[in-house]
Amino acid sequence: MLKGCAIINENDVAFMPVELPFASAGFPKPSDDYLQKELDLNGLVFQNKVCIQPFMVEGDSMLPLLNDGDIITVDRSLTPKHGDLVVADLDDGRVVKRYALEGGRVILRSDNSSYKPIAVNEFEHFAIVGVVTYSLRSFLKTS
Amino acid sequence: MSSKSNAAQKIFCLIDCDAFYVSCERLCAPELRTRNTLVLSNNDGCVISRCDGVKAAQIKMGDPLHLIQDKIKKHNIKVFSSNYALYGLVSDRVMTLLGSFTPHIEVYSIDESFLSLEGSPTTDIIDYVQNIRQTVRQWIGIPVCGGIGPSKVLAKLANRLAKKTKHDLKNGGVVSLLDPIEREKVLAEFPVADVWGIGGKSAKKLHSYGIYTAKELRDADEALVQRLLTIVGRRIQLELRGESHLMLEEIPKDREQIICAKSFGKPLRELPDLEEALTHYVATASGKLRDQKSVSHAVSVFVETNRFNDSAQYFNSAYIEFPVPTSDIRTLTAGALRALESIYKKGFDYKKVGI
Repeated sequence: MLKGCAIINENDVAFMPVELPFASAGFPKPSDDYLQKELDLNGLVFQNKVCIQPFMVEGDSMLPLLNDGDIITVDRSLTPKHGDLVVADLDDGRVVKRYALEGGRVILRSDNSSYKPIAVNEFEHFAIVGVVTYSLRSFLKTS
Repeated sequence: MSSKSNAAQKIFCLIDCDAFYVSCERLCAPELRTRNTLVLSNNDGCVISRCDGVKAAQIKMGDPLHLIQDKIKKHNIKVFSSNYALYGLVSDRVMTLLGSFTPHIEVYSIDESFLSLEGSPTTDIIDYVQNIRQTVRQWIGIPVCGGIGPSKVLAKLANRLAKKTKHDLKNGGVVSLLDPIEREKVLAEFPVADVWGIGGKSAKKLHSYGIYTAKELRDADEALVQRLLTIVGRRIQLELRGESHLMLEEIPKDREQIICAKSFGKPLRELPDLEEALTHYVATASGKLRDQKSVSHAVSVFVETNRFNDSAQYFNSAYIEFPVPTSDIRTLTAGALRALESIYKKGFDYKKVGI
């Protein structure tokens, strides 16, 4: 069993057997040393912050990490570090890419090797929207 | 630049969002950053928000859609129908963020707030407000301008001036009128009709007495101002002089029932139309609330069809309590819209909605 995996009980609530920062009401199970807490997905991802914005991924430029249709959340208050996933505005488009600082220049790289890296100084308008914090993917196939 | 001690005088800052509804739509559609965009009201299709390009095309606030079709084609204008759910959410974020800079904040409307900055930990107020402006822009994606003054009227005036430099993303969009010498130049050129609280009729009266600028109003005979504009005008005059007479309206006491409801000429069927009407009533009701210095602990929303005709009938109401009594327009609006959503049913001709 993996550490921190979710256990679904018959009441259909997910319990995480690890300490999480946002826990609501918790109660101890007799056989465990620690509290079991209810997973608050909203709290975990949005943290009641005004600067968290969700987006939906389009295209395959960030395969295998991000699929078309994945939901990502971005923290707009963070300054990107080399290697971070970022959402950026380039002229009139918005992309999700990996942020790279190379020789003092900002390069946006696609994880999918079929895509060429982007040198931001080739664009008139470049702005970092924020750093990607979480992604969400549905595994159910919709017809 | 500013060398005054912050403790000595009041410092008001009016933060307001640039073309708020348009800016909200652009949050979700970045490709519109450089395209002319406007927003229409849902019900009667009138212009309620315009970007600069649309203003330059001589399209005015309130212009109905059918009269501007040719301009829309000519200037390739993107047209949106209002989406109050989005605007409310974004407004909430902006105001919450502003509230983190100072607890003394009056949310004046969906896109404007007065902040009180006296006693703030800085000697450079312009820098501080510029920081607020950059933070709102980066953290939420909404462009705002800041006007600073020793009174609300002057802060509003400063904000008007700040709009002129909003294109300078780094250093523009913030103007301070804390310095009385700065004020002299500015007030002499500022039209009296643009002063906050001076409407068209009042401006005409003042013009007929040779008062055309904010400076002339400021320096006008006090008895004359009292006679023409009553105590309200006198307060404005004092505020123009740098004296603060309009307080920041944070939250006070008392309760009562305020009802605001109207029947529609033509019945409405769609939720967005009802939402729009309701938002308008909430704005009116919350204005009444603030006028009597009250807060509300709950909001009740009702809808009804026309009981006098033969169509299908539906009446319902919903009641939502607030954890903290409020006169905050965005809290009231959010609660009212939630209540409406819980009782709205498709397929009915609604004759009346109210709060």
